Parts: sequence; C-alpha cells; structure tokens
Amino acid sequence: MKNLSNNIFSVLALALAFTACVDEDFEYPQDAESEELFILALDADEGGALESETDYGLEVAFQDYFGELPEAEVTISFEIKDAEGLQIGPEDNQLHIKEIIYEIDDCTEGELDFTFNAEGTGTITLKPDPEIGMPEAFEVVFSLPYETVMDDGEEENESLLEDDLENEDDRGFVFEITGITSDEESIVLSPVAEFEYIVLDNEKITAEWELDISEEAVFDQFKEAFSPINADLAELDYSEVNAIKFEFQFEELAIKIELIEEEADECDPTDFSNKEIEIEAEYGAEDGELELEGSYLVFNEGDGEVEAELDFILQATYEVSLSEERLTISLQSLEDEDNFNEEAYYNRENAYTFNLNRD
Amino acid sequence: MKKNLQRGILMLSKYTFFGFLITCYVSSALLAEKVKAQNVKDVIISVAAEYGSLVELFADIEKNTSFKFMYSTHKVSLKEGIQISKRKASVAEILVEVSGKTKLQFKQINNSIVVTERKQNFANRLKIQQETWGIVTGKVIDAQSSEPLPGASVVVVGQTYGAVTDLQGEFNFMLKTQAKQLEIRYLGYETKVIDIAIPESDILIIGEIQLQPKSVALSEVVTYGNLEGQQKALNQQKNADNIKNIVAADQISRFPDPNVAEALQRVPGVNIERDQGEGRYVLVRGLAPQFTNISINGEQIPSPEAGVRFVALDAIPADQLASIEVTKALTPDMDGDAIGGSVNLITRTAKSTTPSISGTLIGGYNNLIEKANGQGSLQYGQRFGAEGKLGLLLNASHYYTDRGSDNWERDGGELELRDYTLQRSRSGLSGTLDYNINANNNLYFRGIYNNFQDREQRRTYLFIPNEDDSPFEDTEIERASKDRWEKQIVSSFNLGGKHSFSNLSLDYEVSYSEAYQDTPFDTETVFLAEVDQIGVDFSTNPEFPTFNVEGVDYLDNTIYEFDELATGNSYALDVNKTAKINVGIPYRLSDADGLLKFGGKIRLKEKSFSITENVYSWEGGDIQINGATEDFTLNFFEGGTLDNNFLDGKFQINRNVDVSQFNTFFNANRNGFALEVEDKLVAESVESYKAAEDVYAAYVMTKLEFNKLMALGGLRYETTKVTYNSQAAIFDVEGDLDRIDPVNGGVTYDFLLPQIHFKYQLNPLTNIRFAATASYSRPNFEDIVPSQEVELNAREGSIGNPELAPVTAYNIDLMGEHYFGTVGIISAGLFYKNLDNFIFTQRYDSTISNINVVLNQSRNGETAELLGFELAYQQNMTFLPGALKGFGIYANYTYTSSAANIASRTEEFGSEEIRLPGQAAHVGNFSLAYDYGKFNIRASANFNGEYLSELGGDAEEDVYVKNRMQVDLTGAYRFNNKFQVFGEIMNLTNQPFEVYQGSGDQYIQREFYSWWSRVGVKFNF
Repeated sequence: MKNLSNNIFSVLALALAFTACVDEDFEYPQDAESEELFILALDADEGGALESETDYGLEVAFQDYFGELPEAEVTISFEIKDAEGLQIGPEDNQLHIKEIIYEIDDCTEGELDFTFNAEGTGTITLKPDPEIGMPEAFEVVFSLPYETVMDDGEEENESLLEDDLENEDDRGFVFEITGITSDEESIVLSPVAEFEYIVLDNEKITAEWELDISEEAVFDQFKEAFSPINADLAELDYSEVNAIKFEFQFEELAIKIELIEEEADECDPTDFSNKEIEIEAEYGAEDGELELEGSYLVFNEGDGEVEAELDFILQATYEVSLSEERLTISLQSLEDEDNFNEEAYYNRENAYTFNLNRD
Repeated sequence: MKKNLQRGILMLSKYTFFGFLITCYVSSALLAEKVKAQNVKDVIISVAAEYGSLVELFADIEKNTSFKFMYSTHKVSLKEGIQISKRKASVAEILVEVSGKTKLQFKQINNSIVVTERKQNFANRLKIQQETWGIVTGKVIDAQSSEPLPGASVVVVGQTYGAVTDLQGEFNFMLKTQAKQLEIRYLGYETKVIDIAIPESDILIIGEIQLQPKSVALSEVVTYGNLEGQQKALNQQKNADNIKNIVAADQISRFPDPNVAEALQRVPGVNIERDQGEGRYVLVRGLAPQFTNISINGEQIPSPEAGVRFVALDAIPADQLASIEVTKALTPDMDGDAIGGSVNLITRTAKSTTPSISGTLIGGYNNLIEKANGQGSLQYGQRFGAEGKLGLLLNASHYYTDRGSDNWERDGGELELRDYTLQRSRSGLSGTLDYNINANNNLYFRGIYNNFQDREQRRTYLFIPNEDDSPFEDTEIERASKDRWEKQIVSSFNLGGKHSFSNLSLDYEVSYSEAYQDTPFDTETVFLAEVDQIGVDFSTNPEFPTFNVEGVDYLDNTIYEFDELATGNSYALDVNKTAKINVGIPYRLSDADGLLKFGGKIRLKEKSFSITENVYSWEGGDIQINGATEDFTLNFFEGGTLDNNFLDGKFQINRNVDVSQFNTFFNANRNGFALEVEDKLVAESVESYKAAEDVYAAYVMTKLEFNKLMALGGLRYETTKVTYNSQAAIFDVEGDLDRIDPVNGGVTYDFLLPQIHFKYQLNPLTNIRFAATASYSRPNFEDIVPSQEVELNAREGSIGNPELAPVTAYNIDLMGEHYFGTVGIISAGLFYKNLDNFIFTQRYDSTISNINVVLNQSRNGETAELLGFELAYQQNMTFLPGALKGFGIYANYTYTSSAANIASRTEEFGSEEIRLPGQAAHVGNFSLAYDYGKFNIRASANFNGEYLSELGGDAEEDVYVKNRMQVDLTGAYRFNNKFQVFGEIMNLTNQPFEVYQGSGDQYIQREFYSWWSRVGVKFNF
C-alpha cells in the first residue's frame, strides 16, 4: 500500500509540475518602507526677486517621508554658475552664499557650516541639531551684490542691481547641487538639482505697487472686486484700512491689505506691526494681459469653519507707465470653480479699474 | 506556483498522515475490542451457585469473558444477592435467569451488555416493545459497479419506519424483532425486498445489498451509466428531511463548468455573479451573496477576501467534489446564518477495494485572446483490508487559462475603454482517509487545498471631456496600465467520527479552515494628455458610444505624460477553528418512529487585513532614457499585447505601458519619484483591521415519522461575540491629515431560531414539503469594523458601524416534488422570506469636533419581503419511442419578487421601497441532451435576469446588471467504460456582461468575452 500511495503521489506531483501556471516574471518596484529613500530636493527649479533685494533664500528640503530621518552627516557639494549681470565672489558687491539656516522652532534658527570659494563652488554640511535632530529643511541664503550706505544716520544695504532702466538682458545665476556624500545610503539627491535665479526688473510689472485709497470709493470698488475671493475683506470697513499694496514677485502676486490695527510679532512681543489681510495668486503677465490664479477658503455660515477651498481665476489688463511710475489694472472677470462662464462673479469689459503707484 | 503546489501536497500529506495516526489511535483505544463481538448465546461459562451481590456475578462474568457490563448505579440496584441454578451455561441463559429473578433487563451491543431496569408503570407497552427490538445494519450498493448508493430508502415492509443510507451507502436503525422483510428503494434501480430475522436486543448485520440498475433493461439507446451520480443525488434529495437540491459530480461534469460557482448556476433558484466571464459569487433565491453560507464537508469555510464573509467560488475547482448540496430550508442542526441558503461542497471518499484511478486531460482555446487553456486531473481511490475498512482517496486537479475581455464603461460624461488580459490557474488537492471500524463506527479525516491565481493586466483609455466648459477643468485622456497578481488559497481540514449504538448515534468533528488572499504584486501607471476637445456621444448608439478627439491623435503615445504610479500589496486572512458534536437518540412514540437529536458547536474566527499602498508622482523633470534627455512620455515604456480588434474593431487602441518595464525605470530613478505619504498613511491605517468572532451554538430537535408524514422541529441557539481593532483617520478643516486614532469595538448578539419541517409522502416517489424556519445573516466585516475616514473640510466621511445588527428572517417554504422511476424529477415550490434589520448604506448628518458633517454608514433598515416560486424538471425521455428515447431535458425556472423599505433618498423624512440588491426576477436553465449509442450531445442555456447591483443617490442613479443568457454546447463520445472524449464550446453567442443606470438603455458598462472551448479525454481505470 505504501508503494502504491507513493506512486500515486508521484503521478499527481508530476502531472501538476507539467501544467501551465500564471506567469510570475514580474519586475517588482522597490519597497517604499524597507528600502525607503530620503530625497533632498530643491524647493523650485527657478525663482527670483525684485532687483532691489539684497538677499534671497532658497529652500532645500527632504521630500515627504514616513520613517525616521537618518541621523547622519551629509556633505552637499554645490556650484554657483552662469552668472549674468553680476559677479560671483566673496565680496559685498558680488554674489555669494551669505548663510545656511534652518528652523529650530518658529522663532529660532540654526546655522549649518558651509564652504564657499571665489569660483562659486563649495560644500554644505548637513548634520543633526542637538535639539531637533536632523533638520528636515534648510535655506541657502544668497547674498546679492550690494553696497552699504548711510541713511538717516543708519547703515543700510542698497542693491547694486537696482537701476531706473528697463533691462533688456537677463540678469541672474544658476545654483546647482553637484552631489552629496554620506555614510547613509538612503539619503539621495533629487535629479532636479539646478535652480535658476532671475533678477526681476522694477521697470516692468514686477514691483511693489500701492493703491491710493484716499477716496473711500476706491476702497469700496476694491472691496467689491475682491471680496468674493476673500471673506475677511468682505467684512472690512474703510475706516479699518491703512493701505493696500500689490507686490508682484516672481510669478506670484501678493495683495496686502494693511489694517490700522497693529499686532505684536510672534517671536518678539515688543515689536508691533500693522495687521495684514493677504490675497495670494500666481500670475502671468504678457502684452498687457494679466491672469491671476489662486484659491480661497469658503467658510461655513453656521459654524464659521472652513468648508471648502475653491480655485479662482481673475483676468485683467494692465499698463505700466514708467514716467508716472503707475500701474493701471482693469479687471475683466472673476470666476471660481462653482461660479464660471455665465455664473461668473463679474465678466465685463473694465469691470473695475485701479491705478496703483510704485511703492 | 509550483512551490505553492508542492507546499500544498506536503501539507495535505502531513495532515493526512497525522489524521491517519489519530484515526488508528482512536480506533484502537476506543473500539478495537468491539470489532469482533461474540454473541452472549455462544459463550459458555461456569459460575458459582451463589453471589453476595449482582456486582460480584457481573465481575465474575467479565473476568471469564470479553463482555463488559454497562449500567448506571443511579438507575439500577445491584446490591442484592442472587442464586444461580445453572452452574455451566451460556451467558445468555445466565442473564435470562437473572432477569427473571430481578427487575433487570439486558441488552448486548457488541461486547457490551447494557443493564437497565424494566419499566413497570405507564410504559408497559413500551416495555414489551423494548424487549423485542433489535438493530439492523447494512450497506446498499450498485450490483454492477459495487459502488455505494447514498440516499437509498430502507423501510420495514408493512411499516413506515426505516432509514436512508448515508454517503457511504450504509444504514442502521432500530426495528421490531417481529419485522420479517426490508424494502430497499432507489431511483433508477429495481426495488428490492429482502428477508430478515432480527435477534432480540442484538444487531443484525446484513452486509451488502445489491440493487440492479433499471437502465440495463432499457433499450440500447441508453447504454452507459453516466447518470449514476445524479441518481444518487436525487435519491438523497428525495429522502432528505428538508428542502435541498443535490448536484452530483457526474451532473457537474455534464456541463462545461470548471469552477464551483458555475456548477451551482444550474441549480434551481441559484444565480451567480461573474468576474471576467467566469462565475464567482453565488446568490440563492434572489438574495445577495452574504446571505448564503458556504461549507466544505459540512463546515463553513472562511472568505479569502477582505471585508466580506462570502466566498469567491471560482477559487475551487468543480472536479474536486463528489457533490454539492444547496439547502434552502435550515434544520436546527445546521448553522443558522443562512437566509438565502446553505451551500455544502462535499469532497470524495474511496468507495471500493478495487483501486480506482480516473482523470481528465483537457486542452482548449479562447477566441478573444487567441490563446490555449488546459486542465488535468487525477484521482485515486481505494479501500484497504479484507473488509475494506480503510479508505484512501486523493484527488488533484489543475486548470489554467488565458482569458480576456473587451469592455467599455461610462461614468457621467466620461468614456473608458478597458482591454483586459488574464492568466488564471486553479489547482486543487483533496484527500479523504476514512476507517470503518465496523458497520456502526466510522472515523474520517478530510482535507482540501485550493489555490487560485489570477494575473490581470488592464489597459485603459479614459476620455474626460470638459462637459461644462469649465476653466477649472482640463480636457484629458488618461492612459492607465495595471498589472496585478493575486492568490486565493482556501484550505480546510476535518477530523471526526460517526458512531451508532443501539440507543444513540454520535458524531463529532474538529476542523480547521483557512483562507487568504495574497496580492503581492499590484502596480498601475497613469499617463495623461491634455487635448483641445473631446466629444462623446452616448445616445446615438447606446450599445457602442462614439467619440472624437480634437487637437491631437489620441493613438500617438508621445502625447501622454507621466502622471502617477500606484503600487502596493495586500494580505487578507480568515481562519475558522471549529468543534462540534451531535447526539441522536431514537425513540418510539405511539406508532411513530422518533429521533431526538441535540448538539453543540464552537467556531472561533480570526480575520485580518493589511495593505501597503504607495502612490508616486514625478518630481525629476525630464528623464534620461536611451542615452538622451526626453520628456517623460508613454512611448518609452509601451509594451505587452495590443488588441487590434478591440470590441470587434469598433474602437482603435494603441499599445499601453508594460508595467514591469516601467518598474525597471522606477527602480533606477527612485530619487525622482515623490511618495504621497499622507495618502499612504491614511489608506493603510483606515483599511487595515483585525477582528475576532466567537460563535457558540447549541440545538435540540426531534423528528417523528408517522404513517406518511415526517415532522421535524427544534430550536437552535447561537451567540456571537465580535471584537474589532482598527484605526480612524481624522482630517483638519483644511483637508490635511490631523491624526490617526486607534478605534476598537465589539458587539455580542444572540439568536434563538425555531425550525419546523413537514414532509408528506403521497407515494414512494412523491413528496409534499413544508418548512417554517428562522435564520439570520451577519453583517460583512467591512461594514462593522469601526474604522472611519472623515474629511472635515469636505464635511463628509464614512464610518464603520460596530453596532450593526445582523439581518434576521423568517422563511416559509412549500414544495411538491415527484421523482421519476428513471432519473428525473419535477418539482414546484413557493417560498416567502421576511427580513428584518435589512442593511443598507445611509447618509446622515452628524457632528465631529463641533463641525457638521454628512456621514455614510451601513445601518439597519426596516423590513424587506421576498416572495417567489421555483419550478424544476429533469427527465430522460426513455418513455418515447425509438431513437427519441435518447432525449433528456434539464430545466428549471425561479421567479422572485422583493420589496425592501429604506429611508427615503430624496426626502428628509419617510421611507421608500426598493428591490433587494442582487434579486433577479427571473433565473433559469434549459438544457437539452441527446444520448445515442456512445455519443452524447448537450446544449445548455443559463439565464440570469437583471438585478439591482448598487444603490445610487436616488432611483435614477441605481445601477443594474442586465439580464444575460449564456449558451454552451457539449458533446462526448465514449469508446468504452474506460475512455471518453469530449468537446465543449462556451458562450456561443458572445453574450456580454451589461450594466445600466436608471433606465435600461442607459448602459454604463458592456464587457465582451467572445467564446472559448475545450476538448479532452476522460479516463477511468
């Protein structure tokens, strides 16, 4: 019986071995957990600031991860290159690295060691902080060419890039992380390791502009035009407002409504400044056409809590008068995800026109 | 795959071996001495003239013989002394003398002598009867094949009581010693009457009773006995106490049904849900799959899928089974959690001492995918020993197929083209080791291991028009390519015994069953192209919508840019550990033959699910590929198959991403991919859970057989304790993940389930049945696990409901059935079900962290009713003249109507009435067969009526699966009793799977499979 059973098992096993099976020839993706990577990446691949700025911070951060960031020292090599309209070097009137900082808490910063030579290359040493461990992000602060002048008896840095000309040639530079070395192999560098800095010309729309609200009617117009995308603005009274500023930065517009009411600085209770309500949007400006894209929060009428976040698009025309240092913006339409086409908040020629003066 | 099979073989071998050892141990420890019992009349002993007590006398007899006295000191007094007149006599003579001088009576059961006190008062009549009762035991077999005949009716001539043979063809029952003849009836066989002489208080072992098949006497048209199995099934069905359908292995093999779900679709009142054209879930009497429990060899099997209880029956090869029982009215000795019905899959057992080796070798072709499929099976069975006491049966089968489907789906204004290719294998190993210690004692060990593997590759085009011309929406074409490998392993092991004594029967079993679904590889890539405009026309031709794309050539793979990669794996495990015991005590009440039965059961279940889900976007800019810097577009990763005749050429598609090729790129460029960490944390924590469910059950029931009436009634009590551990994800008002909290829950519920059945025998071939039963159905795990996902900014979420109560039901069944002398049946039945606490998904307002939110939660609804009737007809037309005798018809039809009340979906208050999801009004089968000489051909049609698949926000959004009729053709030629060749063509008319929303012409899915075929040989040595 034993032999018979063995024979039967053999037959069955043999028969099964020769039958076709599901193809298991897969290429498995590497496991996100057991083979987790901690990827250092630049915050953006291009950016810029107004020509009046004397420094600029670029964030370098680890992409989102779910494990524990390795407590290992990382040496980051970099190079500043392709400088146009400025020079690379250690002097004040040259482009160089000012500092490498990271956040310990909302009010405290730490600094990382770095090297920088006149050729524009150098290294940053990223290592664990005694308080917070390995920093999740740090900021490379570039020192843009400047000179120190005396203003009202105080030293002040003035940008050497600022002029009264509409510059035809590009000005800027490229910062590249050329490599990282670490004992921890799981820390790697994103393939996008170059950042292009562009100097923004103040003689174009890229500048800081202020809306003259000396007349209440102007404020009312502004409030009517923008309150659909800002609930706080809708609640404002003219008497509460100190100033309204439009800051056109690199591809981003910040409309700051400065209130008369002041508030203490979060980190320095003795330092007071005006409260602000801000409307932010990405913008594209070309040939007199201006388009803003952003999002805003909708609050529940009952509990006052955020209910939704809706995208909006605002279209306008603009004109910059160099001689009068004036920007004229004519709003054409305002739409959001729930109110577009026929349902737009407004959609008519020159629905609202605002004149802004260079700040 | 091969490793799994080897593991399965090893596991099966191991358990078989252990089972064998345990069997031998138990049998030798408990019952070995009883195997060769002597008769008290034959054993002559010498005894003393006087004993101080009866205990001393019994001890003396025990000392000098192999007999043991059995008695209860509470019920009999053995203190008195006794004088024995015969110093040398048979044990029987001595005991007769003792009986005359005391109030004691004796009964020999094997080597035991049972001592009881004679009743003096109300049971005088019973006393006389008890003194003249004995036991008869035997086995009914086929005279030609020597195979046992289960379900044969064995009745005392002139009386109404008797027994029905079990799966081994064996029977035993108490009867009066005055009985002189037994009548043995079996459908398709000549009725036989045999003479008997029952010894008083003893067992008459008749041995094998051979029945001659009727078909032998028929004309030459029906020449081979391919109906044997179904004859057995119909006999069992006819003689069953409750309403059930039994399908035997040969009936299964007569239809081209490779898996158990498809075999079940032929049963009256059963319809199935399909996946990729293959049957998967079973719906009995119009109730969704969770209302039917699935058992192997009488014990529920766990579900390999996460979240649910019901079992995907495409994981189990049909050829592993000896038969399938579908019970539609529960008895108290059955699990009570089956409102729709209970499906029991019975594996095979060795029948004969002659070794039996049988098998199949099959090859086939799938027209859609233009690839071959194959199947092979081998079975070995033999009983060993002079009396065939030890039986061993092993069965292995393997099925492999390349399949596919062409499919389009609609979601609002979006159109999706889906091209599927699949590889599926289905392997089964089963074994039974049983040991018949003697005619009344049997031990068994059964094991079954099923391995189902499914590799699915899905390539899609999703056309997303900007219907509202919104400046915030893009007009896009999404190209996704998914490659997924999934394994479902279902295994079950049962170890138990059955014993019959003169005054009780006993059976017990411990079992372990495990099911898991392992998906180790599941990856999908998505590429996107923005286009100027897409127009989709669903109305001109609702069956095949048309579309146009402006601005680009949608077949150009260079326009599609990488969007995301989703990859992960999951593992769902479900384990049942069960122990049960049943005791039956025969009794007489007036002229009725009665059986009192009681028992208990414990089932401990553990279920868990874990998942890994990683979604990556690309942050790496241009890619380096083929030595150049390029845009991250689809054309660099295209591969795999291309269907140039998609949906019969109505749509053109291009090659999609080869996922493995893409993964190679992913592994080499991981630093450019960004993981969506928050999504990962939420998905993995919210979807994962662990649960335990302990069920304790006890029942008592009795069966009484009057003249022509059988009445069975009883109560079953079941208590269930459930505990869960899961997690809840809470998002803040800005939509970001705030926290993940552990959430534990639990619930305990009890049921007392009364059941009553009547069977009235109009004549030996005709029964009228009535049943009133109570049953319930536990909620799916995914509904009760207290996980939650609440997005406060969106003010909505979903939340589990650990307090969800089971659905309860009472059921009324009335059925008439007439069996034909040859194999056949005509039956008609009415059934009504009233469900309470019906479960549905409800949206309701709630407050979380002082914020008003709308939550989706499964809740108990109001009542639901289901009314239906079923008709079945099966007959071989042997009464027709000439060659027409070869025709045979197998047909059944079930109509159901249902109404469920749920909270109104459109009004704030009130309720509305819906059909029960899964309930099809019309379900039926029609099969016409013709046997001529050695040739057999059969055309089969299976009709599944439309049913509600998913409840929408209102009636217009309800989703229905449209009716579907599949036609199959089979043919066979039998060379001799050892070899048969056959061929099958399935889905001849290329019937699609169709889904519509709202109205019948608003299709939202049409999936085509084309036809597939198989040819093969069956052998039997």
